[in-house]
Amino acid sequence: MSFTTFRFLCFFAAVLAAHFALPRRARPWMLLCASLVFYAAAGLPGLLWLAGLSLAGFLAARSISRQQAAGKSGRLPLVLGVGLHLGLLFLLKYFNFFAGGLLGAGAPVLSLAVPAGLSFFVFMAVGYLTDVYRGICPAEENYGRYLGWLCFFPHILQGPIDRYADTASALFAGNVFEERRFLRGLWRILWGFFQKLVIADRLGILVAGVWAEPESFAGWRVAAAVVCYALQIYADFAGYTDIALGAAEIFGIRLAENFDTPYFSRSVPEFWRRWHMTLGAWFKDYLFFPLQRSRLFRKFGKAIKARFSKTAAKNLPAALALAAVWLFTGLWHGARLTYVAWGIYYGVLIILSMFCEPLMARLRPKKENALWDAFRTVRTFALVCLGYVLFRSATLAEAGVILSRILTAPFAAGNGFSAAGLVRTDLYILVPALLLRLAVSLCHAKGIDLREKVMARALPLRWGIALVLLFSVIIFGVYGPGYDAASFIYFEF
Amino acid sequence: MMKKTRFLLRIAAFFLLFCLLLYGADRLLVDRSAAPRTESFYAEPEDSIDVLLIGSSRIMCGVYPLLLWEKYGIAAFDCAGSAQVIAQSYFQLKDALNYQSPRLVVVDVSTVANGNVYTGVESFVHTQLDHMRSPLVRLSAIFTLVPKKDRVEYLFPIVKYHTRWSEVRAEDFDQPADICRGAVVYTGFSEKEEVLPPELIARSVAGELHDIPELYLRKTVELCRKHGAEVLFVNLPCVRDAEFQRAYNAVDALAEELGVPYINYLYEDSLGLDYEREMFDTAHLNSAGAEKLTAALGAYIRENYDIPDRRGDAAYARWHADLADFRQKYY
Repeated sequence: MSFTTFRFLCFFAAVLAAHFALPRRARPWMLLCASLVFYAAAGLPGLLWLAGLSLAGFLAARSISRQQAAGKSGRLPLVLGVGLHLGLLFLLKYFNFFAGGLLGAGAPVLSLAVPAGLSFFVFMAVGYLTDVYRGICPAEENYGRYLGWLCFFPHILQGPIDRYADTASALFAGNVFEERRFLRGLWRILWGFFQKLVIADRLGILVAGVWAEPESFAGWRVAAAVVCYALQIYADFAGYTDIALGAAEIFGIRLAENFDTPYFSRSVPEFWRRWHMTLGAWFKDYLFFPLQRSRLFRKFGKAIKARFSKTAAKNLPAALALAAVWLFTGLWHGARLTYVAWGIYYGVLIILSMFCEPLMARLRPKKENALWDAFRTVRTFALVCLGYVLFRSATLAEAGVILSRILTAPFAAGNGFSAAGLVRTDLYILVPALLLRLAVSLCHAKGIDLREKVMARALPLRWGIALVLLFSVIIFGVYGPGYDAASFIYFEF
Repeated sequence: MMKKTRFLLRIAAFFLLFCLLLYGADRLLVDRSAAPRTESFYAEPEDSIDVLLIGSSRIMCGVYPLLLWEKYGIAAFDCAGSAQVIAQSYFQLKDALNYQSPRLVVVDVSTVANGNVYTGVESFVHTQLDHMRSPLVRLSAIFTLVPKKDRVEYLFPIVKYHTRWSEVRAEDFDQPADICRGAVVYTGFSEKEEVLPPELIARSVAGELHDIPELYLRKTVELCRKHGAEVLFVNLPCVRDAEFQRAYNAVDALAEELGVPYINYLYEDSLGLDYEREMFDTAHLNSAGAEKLTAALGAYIRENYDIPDRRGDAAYARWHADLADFRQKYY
């Protein structure tokens, strides 16, 4: 059930009404039932996988906890639990990709449907098991509560990849209703819809049109489409996240933030600290640090130190861990060579920036310099856009065509954007909408909480803003017959 | 408790305002190209129409109420719609009966060969449903006629029409009133098809009626009788193959069973229709053919039903003026 369907709106209204009509004790269970219904709408086999995996995760966590209480390490149930989750993720999402790559055309093909949101909830479950093992959070004693957290409908399909320790207690508190929270949540949901339906799906028309026939457009138009894709994917994913976080906020649950004005970043590593933050944090906490602190890596560091230098001993193991992180980050997005190449691209950029840091520190102006900062922001954005050429393309050859068109025929004769499906009236909407998006980002970057500002205003304005947002989406949104009801881009991952 | 009540009141006010604005936006953005014709029906004084015509574009283009008025003083209105199947016509009639109490309902059965409740031509269904006035009939029509996946755009036409925000013009709301009483006039000939007289099969050769049109023909008769109206089935001249003709002939048995007269004009030689000159295309009569058919139908109605001649009635003075305009415009 996509957030942008009429069915979801009815579902959400019904869940909201039922939630606050029920006694507080019953509310978490109602949310569990609602989440199961929501997930079942994506297909019953997925629900069975979810039930089985969550039961295994629940039992593994309890086993870790019991073993640790008995003075043991709990490593075996951790390895089994994590192995089962990641093994299933591999089997359902990557088996055909690797088998095809290794064995060619004669490779066995597994024809099992991938459950919706698998990559997201597997990562949440693995995070939970590791946190239990590390003593960050206690093992949940009640399966229903664990399942209720894992399948909570705002985050199960596309994240954010939440931590049990951060969200579970609020989820089971049976929060009381607050008008202020309702309005804040409602504004955020509507802002999410605005980003998705007014901005992302409108930009998506142009992007899809150019990507379908890049040779028929001049290189500068193809480059503009790449920039539009950068804006599209941000509005799409941030829009989804705003709907998810706003919905959860109404129920009194704060989910983790996923974005912090990423396109204002001044370096690629900074971009990744501000884009899809919960995924970056997950890889940092559950892959990068464990790898770096592992016995193997420490040994490797010592060997480097003995043969080369102290700096090399610090940087080389880190580079190796980063390479692993970025290879897996690429793969996490899907079993496709372009994702792998995209992951490697970022791995190389980030490792290079680590090695070049001493040199860059010397080149950098000593004092704060707005012009230098602007240059760094534009440079980072350009590098991110270059990465999107790989990310958006279905094959490496397609990415090659896009790049070669940009580089070899920048001003060649070709079609206008209208041939890609974007008409003048779309621009009348897109330009102000993007400016509004930029203004909101600037406020966010300056630490201004816009919702608090509006909350301090008179009642008619508070509700009026909701109406304005609502009608902006209804009238200017891209939806209805004639349009392919574009699903969220991250739904595929 | 007070807080909760206050919030619920605010939510209710917000929802009410939202609904009002949504309705306003919906009416502002909806395609109004067919609105003058639909609105002219609702503009007729209540219970002023004696004969209602329902069905597809065949009767819409084949019978001109103003010519019925001219020759027989019959106050008729054509509520038919393009590609309207029998089930759709049933709901059209149901809506119309909320505003008029006709003595006779003429049902065009030309779509009886179509076994569906939904014509499939989405824009025509919108034309019918988007301007329908009775909310309950509209709702039941949507839930009966429209496939589940498409219902939202009929329940809330703004879902379909929201993209028209840049096309709306003041003139859309200031269109001249439709004076034809629902008829659509085709003059001349379509250049797309050559029309030759149909090769008729024997009238006794009939196929099986599809379940859905049969059901809705029965329901139509039942509805008319409930409202005290008589029913007449008609099939208008057209050039169709044997399969279609067998479907038209299948109505004979049903009409007999229901006790409803049925005129299949394919077999009415007395009409003297010149297919090559008096058809617009293979399905529709042009203005010359429609004049001939209207006269024949009017004569039948005058002879067989107790329909008053309203020509002397002062309440119908506007019909004379509209007829003059109609004659001047089309003949």
